[in-house]
Amino acid sequence: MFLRYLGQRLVFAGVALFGAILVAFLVAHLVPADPLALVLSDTATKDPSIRATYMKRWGLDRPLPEQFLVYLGNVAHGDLGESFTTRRPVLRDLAQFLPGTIELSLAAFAVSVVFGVPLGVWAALRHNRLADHAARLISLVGAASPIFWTGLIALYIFYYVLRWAPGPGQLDPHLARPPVVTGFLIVDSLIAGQVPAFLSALWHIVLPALVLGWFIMGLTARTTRSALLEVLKADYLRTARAKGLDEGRVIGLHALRNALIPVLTITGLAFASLLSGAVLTETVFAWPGIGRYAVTAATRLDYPAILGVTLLTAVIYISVNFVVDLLYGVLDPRIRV
Amino acid sequence: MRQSRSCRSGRSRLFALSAALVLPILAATGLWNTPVQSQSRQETLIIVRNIDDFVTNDPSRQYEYTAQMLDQSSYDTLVTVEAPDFTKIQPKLAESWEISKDGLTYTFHIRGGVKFNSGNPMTANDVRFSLRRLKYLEDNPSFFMDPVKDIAVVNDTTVKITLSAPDTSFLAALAAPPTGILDSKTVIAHGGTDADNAKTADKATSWLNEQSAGQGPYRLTSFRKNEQAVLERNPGYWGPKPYFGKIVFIHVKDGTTQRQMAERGEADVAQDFDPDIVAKIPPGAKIKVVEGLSMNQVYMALNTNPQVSKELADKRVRQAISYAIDYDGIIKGLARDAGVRPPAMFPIGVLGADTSMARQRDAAKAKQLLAEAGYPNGFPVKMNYWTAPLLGLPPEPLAAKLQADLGALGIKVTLEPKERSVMITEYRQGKPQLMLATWSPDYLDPHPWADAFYRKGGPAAKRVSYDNAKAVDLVAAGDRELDPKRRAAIYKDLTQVALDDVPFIMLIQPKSFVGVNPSIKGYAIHPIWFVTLSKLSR
Repeated sequence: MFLRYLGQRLVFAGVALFGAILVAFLVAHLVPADPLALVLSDTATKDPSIRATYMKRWGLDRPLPEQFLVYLGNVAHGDLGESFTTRRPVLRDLAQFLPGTIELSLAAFAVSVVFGVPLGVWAALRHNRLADHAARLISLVGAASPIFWTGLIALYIFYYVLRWAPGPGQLDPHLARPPVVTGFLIVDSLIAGQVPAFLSALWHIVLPALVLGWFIMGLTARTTRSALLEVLKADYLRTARAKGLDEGRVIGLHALRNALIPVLTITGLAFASLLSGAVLTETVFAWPGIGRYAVTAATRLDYPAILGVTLLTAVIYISVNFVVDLLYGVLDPRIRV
Repeated sequence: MRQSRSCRSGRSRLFALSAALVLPILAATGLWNTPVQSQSRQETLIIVRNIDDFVTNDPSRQYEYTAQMLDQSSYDTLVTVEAPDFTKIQPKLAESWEISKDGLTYTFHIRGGVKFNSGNPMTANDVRFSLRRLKYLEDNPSFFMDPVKDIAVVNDTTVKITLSAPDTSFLAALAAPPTGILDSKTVIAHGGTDADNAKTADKATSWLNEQSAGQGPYRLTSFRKNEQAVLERNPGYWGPKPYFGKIVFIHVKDGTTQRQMAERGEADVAQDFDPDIVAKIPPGAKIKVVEGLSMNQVYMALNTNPQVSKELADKRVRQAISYAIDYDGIIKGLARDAGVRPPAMFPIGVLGADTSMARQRDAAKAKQLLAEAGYPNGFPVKMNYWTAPLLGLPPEPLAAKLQADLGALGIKVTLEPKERSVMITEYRQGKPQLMLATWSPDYLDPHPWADAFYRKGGPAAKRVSYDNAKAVDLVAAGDRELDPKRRAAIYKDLTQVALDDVPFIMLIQPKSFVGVNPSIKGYAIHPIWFVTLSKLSR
């Protein structure tokens, strides 16, 4: 039963991935620019054979449908092509930048949940009172402020003026990076036993996580609040109170658990969007991640990198949605796959 | 009534969770705030800059900004040029050289006792291999070897290079990082080749992207794209031992953040300063601003092709435009006086560039020329530019200013910005009527500029369909002339032709600004590779 469900999901995933690549491919090639414009220097345009070499090397001299089929064939073998900008396999680029994004996403997500859910609960329980308005204001400011602005202001106040936070980057510049085992700096430094690097990495993630987390927290808090408000009207809560259950258990065990389902949907999507990269946060805090890689690929018309990032993002969303669907089953026994 | 156990344990769980989050943070505060002024920090130089432009570290392929600096420190060249006189060629790997009377044969005497990072001794063979590989890879910098017909090894310490025609700029080309000498044995071991088919057969680049096969004062020990690069002192270097044992480049995109890091002492050098950032440095801040003249150019291209713009095809119209521009207003107002303006597309600092020849604004003359050409009431025209900064200058105010200046003549300019990749494509296809663009030095000799802008079919001249036989002759003559005085005169003649034809209008040659920790000594801005890292000390 579950296997059939899994099979179905895999088929749909395949179709979605194909669609994503096709759209990305078409749109990238629709841009009226020469992909070699930013690869060839001005003086290199003197020699047509330089251009011809690059065209041949990257298969750009073949007709579009053939390029697409060649790309699909390569992907099936795990070859995502060579990036025009980094001149390295795209897979290697993604492997370098994805762990940084995952670390930042987990940290920001944790911040948004740890602060956002209690804030939303608090606001719902004090509906239409001062606390509720304060909570809604905090959420709104977080979600509405442009994140590069929040980031730069945070850097200015906490790094430059107050000296509480470290500067941009993942690690103090004069500390050596631990050898790569998982790609996650915090984990790798623990494995290597390099305590100063571990603490420095932990410390460096605080400010970007708080900034990015605040941005997402707005969403988490508001969703929790509105979902809980809906559930608080339910009759079964009256029954629970009538049975003698104390208020903490009524809210915590019954109300919240039922409110979490829409919260899970929204925060799942938010987590997936975090994983696809937070280009502004990454830029402000010099954090190596997928967001910056994706934007650079798009502006430099780096076809393989664009397609690689699209593929990765599609895989992320598909996976996160799948996990969310499974978690529904955990939260609500009525929804079992 | 009865206290719910889950309630109390819930609260204590919450307390434990917050403690678990807060305590490590507090601990880290303590550790992080300890100033790290150990011996290793003193001897480490930390540079922050935007290293987004990086593509490769292979000297025979690199043609971007950051890599020039990295490669210049890892791979020595035969000769070099240094501050303050960039026209003087100085020996480096080549102790001495002779040039034949006809200017066709260069014989270099290589210094002995130089060892590569691998321990292999450097010989004339490595010189031949590296220069041939540069030529046959047929990548961005390969044009440096265009004048070369043959490279021969006479003996272990002598190389003879024969040119197909006399080229006075050749020595200047040999000072630039793409002509760095590589360890041929190591490069070949990793798939490199200098054969005629190197462009498809050579596979050494990915290895060279992360380690050096050179003999320079430093070698590359770590490179993470868009994050960090680390250079470490080469223990076997033949020349004077550089002060810094380790140089770390950290990628930080924003100039203001770079400034904050430099002021805090976290970075020693912040390389992406512009006049606005310099103006905002608070008095008493612990940072020293080093100023130097770059040889970059911000210019406007005017298309001479009648099919693109019949008005601009008339040189009187182009001259009128060149008289209408408020050059001083642009430099003083938009660039905060942080720039100079040579008369034509030769930057100040190379032979033959003379600021006194620069055209000044003359609104009356502009109107008169326009009327003579038959457009007393002006005409409509489009100005293109890309939406990224022009060498640090925001393009929008510049375009708006030019629009206003031309508008005073009655020329109705429509601004049409586009994304950089699209704009460069169109510019290379020769489509824009007026175009704002930039140019950076290839090597420090007037010839590459003359060739690019004034020879018919040169990379920039082509885009505006510039075709003047006299200019072509002067470009060739300047390249052949061995006597510097006569050469300077030729380039001055070429400047006059350029001022008459006006295919390009030079707007700003910007100054470079770098923020440096006051303890750093010896920082001098170099127009090609930004700074000679081995000369820095604390």
